This record gives sequence, structure tokens and C-alpha cells, in this order.
Amino acid sequence: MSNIIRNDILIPISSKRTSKEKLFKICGLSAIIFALSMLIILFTTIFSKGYSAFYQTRIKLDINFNEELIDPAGARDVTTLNNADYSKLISQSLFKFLNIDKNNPKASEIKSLISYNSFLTLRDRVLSDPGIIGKTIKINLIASDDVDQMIKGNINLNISEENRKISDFQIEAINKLKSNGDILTVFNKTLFTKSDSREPEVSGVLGAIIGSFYCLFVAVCISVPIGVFAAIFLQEFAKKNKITDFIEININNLAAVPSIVFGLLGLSVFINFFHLPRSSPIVGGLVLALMSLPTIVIVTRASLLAVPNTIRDGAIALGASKMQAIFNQVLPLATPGICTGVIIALARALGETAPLLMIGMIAFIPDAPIAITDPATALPAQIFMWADHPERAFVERTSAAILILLSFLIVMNAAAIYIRHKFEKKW
Amino acid sequence: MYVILAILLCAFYGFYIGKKKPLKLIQDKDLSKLNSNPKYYGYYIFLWCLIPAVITFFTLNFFSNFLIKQIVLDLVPEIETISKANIEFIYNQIKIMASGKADAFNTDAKLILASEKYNELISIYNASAFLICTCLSAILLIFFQKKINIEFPARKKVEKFIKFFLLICSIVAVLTTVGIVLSLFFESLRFFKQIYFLDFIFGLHWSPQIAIREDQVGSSGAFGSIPVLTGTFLITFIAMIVAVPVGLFSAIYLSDYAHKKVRSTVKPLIEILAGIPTVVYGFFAALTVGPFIRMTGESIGLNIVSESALCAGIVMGIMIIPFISSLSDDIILAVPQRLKDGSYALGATKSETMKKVILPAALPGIVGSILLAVSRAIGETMIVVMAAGMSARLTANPFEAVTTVTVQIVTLLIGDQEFDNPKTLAAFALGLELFILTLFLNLIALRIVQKYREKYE
Amino acid sequence: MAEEQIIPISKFNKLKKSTSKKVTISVQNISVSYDGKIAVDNISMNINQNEVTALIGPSGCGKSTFIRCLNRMNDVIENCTIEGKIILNGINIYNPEVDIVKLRTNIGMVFQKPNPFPKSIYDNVIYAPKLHGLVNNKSESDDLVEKSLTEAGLFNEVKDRLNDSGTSLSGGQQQRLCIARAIAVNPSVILMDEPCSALDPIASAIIEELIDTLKKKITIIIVTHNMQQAARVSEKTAFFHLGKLIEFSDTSIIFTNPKEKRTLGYITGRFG
Repeated sequence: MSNIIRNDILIPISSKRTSKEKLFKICGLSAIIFALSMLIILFTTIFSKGYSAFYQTRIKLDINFNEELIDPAGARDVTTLNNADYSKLISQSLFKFLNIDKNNPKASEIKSLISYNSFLTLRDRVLSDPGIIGKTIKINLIASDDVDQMIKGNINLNISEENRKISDFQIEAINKLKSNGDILTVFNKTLFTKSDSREPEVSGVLGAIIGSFYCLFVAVCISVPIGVFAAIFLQEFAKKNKITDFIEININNLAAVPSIVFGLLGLSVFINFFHLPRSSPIVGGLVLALMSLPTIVIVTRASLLAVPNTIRDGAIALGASKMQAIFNQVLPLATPGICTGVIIALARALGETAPLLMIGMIAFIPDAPIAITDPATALPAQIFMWADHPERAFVERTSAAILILLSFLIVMNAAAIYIRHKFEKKW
Repeated sequence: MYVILAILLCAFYGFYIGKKKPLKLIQDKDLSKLNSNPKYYGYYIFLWCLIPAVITFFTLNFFSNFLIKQIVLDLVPEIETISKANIEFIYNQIKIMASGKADAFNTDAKLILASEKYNELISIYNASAFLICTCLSAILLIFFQKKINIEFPARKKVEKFIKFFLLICSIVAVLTTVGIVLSLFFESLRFFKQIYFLDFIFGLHWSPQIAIREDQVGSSGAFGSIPVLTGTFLITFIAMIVAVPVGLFSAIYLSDYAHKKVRSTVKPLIEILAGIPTVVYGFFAALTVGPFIRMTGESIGLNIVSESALCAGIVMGIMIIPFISSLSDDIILAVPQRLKDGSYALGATKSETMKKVILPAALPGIVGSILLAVSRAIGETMIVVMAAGMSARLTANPFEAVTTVTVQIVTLLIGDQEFDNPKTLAAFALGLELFILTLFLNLIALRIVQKYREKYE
Repeated sequence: MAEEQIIPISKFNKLKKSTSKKVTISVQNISVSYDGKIAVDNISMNINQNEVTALIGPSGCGKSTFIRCLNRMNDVIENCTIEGKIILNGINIYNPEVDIVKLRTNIGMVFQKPNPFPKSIYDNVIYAPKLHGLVNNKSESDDLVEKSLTEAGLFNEVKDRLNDSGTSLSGGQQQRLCIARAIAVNPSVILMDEPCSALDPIASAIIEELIDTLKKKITIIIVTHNMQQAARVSEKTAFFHLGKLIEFSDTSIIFTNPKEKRTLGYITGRFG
């Protein structure tokens, strides 16, 4: 060891060491940048593909509610009005505007400019007000999905006609309508008021949202009481013995079981053994409840643990029994933490698809469910089904549905964070 | 259901009486003489009126359903010749006819008899259930009401019951696991009756066709799960290659190099990746990542399909980044500060301290977290269903399309539901394989992390 | 001064006084604050070469914070602001051009709780020399390890089990291992932050003997809350109170005839 004071502190350490340090730091930074950029790319891709679904193209037409076509007998009989050929009215109006003879070989292309289901709109108008028969009224009809995509600029008009979904003839017709001011772009109400459909322009997420809501409702009703009570037992009352250890191991393990296994459980036990109705929110809710149960137990235990023992001791010292102390004093104080955990568990359950696939919630369900035993679908399942359709209009709607799902999740998580900040006490 | 109403009525009346009686017994309104708060007496009677009657009701319901079904089906001619699936169908028809809502689709005379018998039996059941349950409730009410006196420890008994109820709730978790294991096990057993067990575990050819003849058992090999497992492992491996470096380095940077403010903003942002539903990742993979990889491949002369293992693996890796990042972060922070201080005081740089002191110390914990992430990746369904392929190939080439265990489970079960079909049962066998694998990984991972925690706390 | 109160320390210990002429470290107006709260207020003192300087004072008076300034360990703590200069051989260590890594090989540190790395004893000692490139091959490493462990008084006890984990040693042995580790990079100063507070009296005595030997080659600054220990090992003593340096002079003076009332109060046990 030297007596001499070293004078070398101004000499920097070897450049090898400095560059290693720099490299290490850069690796760390690039990892974070990679992760964040993936996040941004994901969101921007979906947003850019989906925002256009929130508005739709409509075509204004002068519809002549021709009496001979609708009700030649003039009796205004409901059955006759029901069964009239309203799509003919639409094609007649189109032919008139575009000056095309109905025998023109390309006439069918014109018919397909309007959504296939529009005859239902006309029928409903007539049924609600038979007085319009004989009059000519301007009505906004939903354009077909190809027209919609063309107006939104998603179809490449430069490639040759055989490779396109829209023919030159149709383009001409649309341009004529446009210059007459008959093409409108309005907010896409149908996305929120209708359920699944074969035609993308009239498909919506209403049924899926209601289905998801029912599922979550059933899941909450089952998993929250059971989970909270189980946690209270394990945290406050259970003695440390093999049985409680076993229960704890089970709960921790269930938290890590793949979601598809819960789907298999639902299929074999709830549907095949208990004969509950397939594709119904009650089975979906049961499966989601079982999946959320471990999370809720763990979160509740943590919240109960956070309440200091002085509260329990204080209550007992005043003569309360252990159970009274827990239910009357500790549990209310743990409630914000429990709420936060429950909301987060539910947000996870909302996004789960795999178990719902197993129990059949991916059927084509054109009507929104009314009871929890009706067949239904859920929002993530709807996204999955629509993702399979190659039409551009469905791509757009799938992205929009994803945006809707994500906004629900954001709201739920924000609510959880808000509750946590506002009500949680720091002991 | 009138029975339920009747029981509830009895129970509430019991509660009322239970509450009133002790008050009547103490003449001088001195509540401290009572053993418990009056409402506990009420609860006590309420529970005794309600629970046994409800249990009886459900038991009766269950057995009567079974019994009624047997009796009614006996009346259907040639019942032995009808297949199991059709029996359900016919029984449903009988029920619809009995409720009078039958459309004209079936006016089979033989079934009419059965439906009438059904109605008869249902009304007998309803009447008897009502009587039995209500009487039970009432009897219990009278019996227990007599028991009430001033010293009766109502609160203790009620609390004992509540404690028992809490225990039952805890057991639900165990029941779920038992349910999973039993259902997977039994269905798989039925599968293995038809397909040779070793062929499934070790077979190299997976193409689940139904045409299994009686004499082909043991030689088909069409249900060999190895290619499916390799697909799972290939995609998981690719996912880990993405997630482990990114996750680990993010955790290192955030815990050691980043400013507090940066850390508190970036950490939640990375957590968002974990909260995105997997179906969204699947869509993203199929829509954007797949074509992108394919195009990049074309431009450098490689032939990559859009359903490549690479695509699914990368997206799954992105999804798993936050798991590894958060767990590693916790683990790195758990390494005691004094080790870091000791290293800095010796003149080591941050990266040297991290590489030579902290990471080796944190290694068991990090390995545990990687295992947990692997378990998550193996069980992941939606990303692979939407982005990976269906054909089971035994390959290590990430540019080809492979299938995974979860994809096969989904494919096999979406379709008709004949439950004796080996195709559908194969899904359960795969599910069992998956469950055992993830269980194994989870247990090991948790053990490792626990041991590591014990060392430092 | 009331003599009867001070007798115990001077009667049973031979108190030392500073004889060194050379100054190793000159502390000039050092102040440290955390989040705006002042922890150390305007300290100035000169540390003499090859002597032991003890820092004493009640808990929370800033001695640990101060000593961590000397090897810039406070730099790793966020929200910590440091003002003033510390001159080591003519260079202010807070000069931005100073390489902190090099500085810390010049000024080593031993902590309150022994903190050997979870590696082998051999690897613990050779860790820093390897990083700084002080050894090039196995035989040099072996020599350095043996030398450092001998100087730390630990070699004979562990020479047969150099590959055992550092954490398998007893508390006192671990602390000596930490000292060996610090010695291995050839520092001119070693800072010791309450090195014996986690040890039993016998282990503490061994460390104190070690300090006596080491000071012949290395300047030592030791923080201690044990006054008797300060009286035993140091030549100069500094008394801190509430972040301020109250008195700094020869140990013999501090413990027999302190100038400040507060110093007297502390060493006679009236407070702290």
C-alpha cells in the first residue's frame, strides 16, 4: 500500500468501460422506445382504420310511393302492406334519376348501390303512416358498403375494372348523385343501434354490448360476494393449517390458468352437465366469474391487510365480537381498495374472448338479447367474428368496435384509479 | 316460483318473531340482560327457516327432474333405438308440446301421450314441493322459536353459521380447480378409450379426421400431439426472444437510470400493453404485422407467409413485455440497496454494478418471472387463433405457418357438438396437456420466486 | 470544568493527539440539503494524512450524510443538493471533470451493515481490481487477494475456503472482508460509517486493532456513535450536532477539555 496520495482522479477511466456503460444505457433506452412505439403503432393503426366507421354514406332519393305497386286493391290491409315489393320502389327511383331503362343490362349494378336492407326502411315508413302512399317523398337511404368505402376513399379507382368492386358504370352514377347533392355523410347511428348483420353497412355492436353487459353483470353478482367472503375468511378467520394453505395454493394457481381452460370447464360442466343454454350470458357470466374470482380474492386480501390492526383491536376493546369488528369497521375501510380491484378484474374480463368462444358465444346473432338466458354475443367475440370477414367495410367496423371496447376499458380503469386516489387512506 | 315465496315469507315471519320474543321476555326493557342483540335472535330463526327448506327444494327439484324424465321417456315408443343426442331433442319437443307452444311441426300421437304425462307429473311435483317445503319451514319456525330464552347465545350461533358460510365461499376456488381437473380428466379418458394414449403423446402426425374405424385403434397416428406442441413452443420461443430483452432492459433502465418523473410516466404506459385485450392484438397481427413481415420478406427474397410463426410470435412477445418488465422491476428493486452502495463505493459504474452484482443476485427471481411469462404465452389463445395457421407442421422455421395447442382446441370445438366424437374429445385431451404444462411451470416459478424472496427479506 | 464528570474516559484510555503535518482532505463550506431541508450546514475541516479522524454526535446530526460527501456517494440520491468544496490533493472532487469512478478507488468506504456480495470470498476481493484493470492474470489476482486479506487480518481464517460464499462468514469476518475489498484497490483514504455498530464487542475490538494498523498507510475517517471507541482509535475528533460542526480538535482535548458547552454535554451523557 502506498503512502503517496494518488493524483489520478482527473484521468478518466478506460474508454472501454465508458463505452460499455454508454452501450448499456442505450440498450435500456431503446428497449423502452421499442415498447412505447409498438403501443403507438398499435393505437394509430386501429384508430386510422376505424374512425371512418363512425360516419356512413347515405343517398337521398325521391321515392314515389306508387299505390299500384304497394297496395293495388286500396284496402290498406296490413299483410299486403307488409309483403309489398319495396325494393322495386328504390330501383324505380334510381332509374328515373339516372335516366336508365330498367331493361338496361347494367341495371342490376344500379340496384346494388343502395343497401340491400333498405326496403325494410320503406316498409316501416308505410306501416307507420299509410297516408304517404301515392306521394313522392325524399328519403335518406343507407348506401351499400361498396359505395360507402368508395366515398371514404378506401377503394383504389385506378386499377382496372375487373379487379375492382365498383364498376365504371356505378362510379358514373355515384358521381351524378354527388353533383346533385344527393350523397350525404352522416354520423353512423347504425353502429350503435343495430346488432350483427350480413351486410356491413347495417351492422352494429348493440347486441354485443348488451351481451357483454349481461355477462359482466352475472359475473359481478357471482364473483364479488364469493370472492370477498372467501378473502375475509382466509385473511381474518382462517388458522394457518394445511387446509387453508391448500386453498391458498389453489387460488394462486387459478390466477395463472389459461383462460381457454375455463372455457373448457364451462363447456363440459355448465353446458353439458347442467344443461344451461349455450351461447347465453348466464354461462358466459359464470365462466368470467370463475376467472375473476382469484383476482378478487387476492385484491380483497391485500385491502384487508392494509387496514391496520389498531382498528380491529379498538373495536374489540369496545366489546364487539371479531365478526362485528370486521364487518362493521374493517370492511368499510377496505372497500375502496376492493372496488378498485373489482373494477380492474372486470376490465380484464370484458376483454376476454377465448372462454366465450368455447361456450358458443360466437354464433351469428342478429338480435340483441333480452334475457340473460337468450343467446348472445359479447363485444370481443363480435370483434373476433368480424375480423374474419375480408370486406373493407368489416375491417373498418372491426377497428371501430375495438375502439369502442378500448374506450370502455379506459373508462373503467380511469374510474378505478379515481376511486383509489379519492378514497384510499394512507395509514 | 311460489315455493320460494312461501319459504321466504316463513323466514321473514320467523325473523320478526325472533326479534320480538326476547324483548317480551325481559320485562324491564333492560337490553343488557340479553345475551345478544335482539336482531341476532331474529337472524337465527330466519336462517333455520330459510336454509333447510331451500336445500330441500333444490334437492327435490334435481331428483324430480331426473325422475320425471325417466318416466316420460319410457312412454316414448322404441326409446332404446334412439341415439343419445336425439333423446335430448325428443325430450325438448315433449316439453314444448306440454307447454302448449308447439307449432304445427310435430303432431306425433305417441309424443302427445308423453307430454300429457309430463304435465301431470309436473303438477304433482309442484304441489308436493310446495307442501313439503312450507311445512318444513313452519315446523322449524315453531321448534326454534320455543328455544329462545334470555341466555340463548343467538349471536354466537349466527356468527358460527356466517363463518361456515365464509368457509364455503373459500372452497369455491378449490371446487373450481377440482371441476377443471375432473372435467378435463374424464373427457380425456373417453378420448383415450378411442385413441391410444402413447400415440397422442408421442405421435408425430396431427390431422384430426373423424374416420376412425374400430380396427384402427392404435395405428392411426392422426392424433399425435407433438407437432401441435412444437408449434406452441416455436411461437413461445419467438415471443420470449422479443419480450425478455425488451422487458429486462426496460426494467433495468427504469429502475436505475431513469429520472423519477420519467419512470412514473413510462411505467404505466408500458403497463397499458398488458391491459389491451388479446383479440385486439390478434387483429393487429393479422391486419398489419403479418402483411408487413411478408412484404419485408419478399423484398429481401424470403418467402414468408402472412400467417407465419414469426408474426404471431412477435405480437405475442409485445403483449408479454409488461409481464417481464414489471416483475423484473420488482425483483431488481428487492435487491438490497447496500449491495448497490458497496459496489458503487468500490468505483464500479452503473452498468458494471448491474451486470456483475445486481443481476446475478436477482437471477432466480428473474428466471421465475420468465417462467411465468412462458406459461402465459403457452396458454394464449386469441393472438394465435387470429394470426397463426391451422396446419400442424413439425418445423423450427419461423417463416412457416404452424398451429398451437390453443388454436387446435378452438378449431376442434367450434362446430358440431357431438360429444362422443374423438375430434371434440381431442380438444379436452389437449386442454389437459395444456393445463398440466402451465400448472407445472407456475408451481416451479412460484417456488423459485418464493425462495428468492426469503433470501432477501 | 467539572473534572469529576470527565474522569472515566481520560482515566482508562490513553487519548491521542494529532501529530501529522500533511493535510489529505480539506473540506471547505460543505452544505447538504435533501428536498430543501438542510442536513449538513457549512462544515469546514482539514483531515490529516495517516491519522484517524472520528466524527461523533447524536443520531441524525448529519455525520453519515457528511461522510458520504467525501466519496460523492450522495450523488446517487435524488433531490440531494451539495454546496461547497472538498479538496483532495489540490483538486476539488466536485469539479465536473473529476471521474467519480476513479475518485472512489482513491477514497474507499466501509458501511455500517457488512455488505459482502453474494459471491465467493475470492471474487469479493478481486471484484474492484478486476474492473479497474489492476490485475492482468491469475497469479497477480491471487497475490492481491492474499495481500488484501492479510492486511485486513482475515487471511489466516479463510485461506482454506476462498471459494466459499462471502455471506457464509460471521458478522465480524464479513466486515473485515469488506475492508479487504476496499483495500484491494489501493486507496489513500478509507471512510468508515459506523463499521462496528452491527458487531459484537470482540469483533469490534478486532476491527479497532485493524484500524490502528491500517492508519500507518491509509488515512481513515470513522463515524461512530460510540464515544469510547472514538476515544480509543482516533487522533482528531469532530463533534457534530444538528448538521453543524460544533467542535473539531485533538481527541485528547475533546474528551478532557472541550471548548464548547454542547460538546461537554454530549460526552458527559447529558444528551444524545
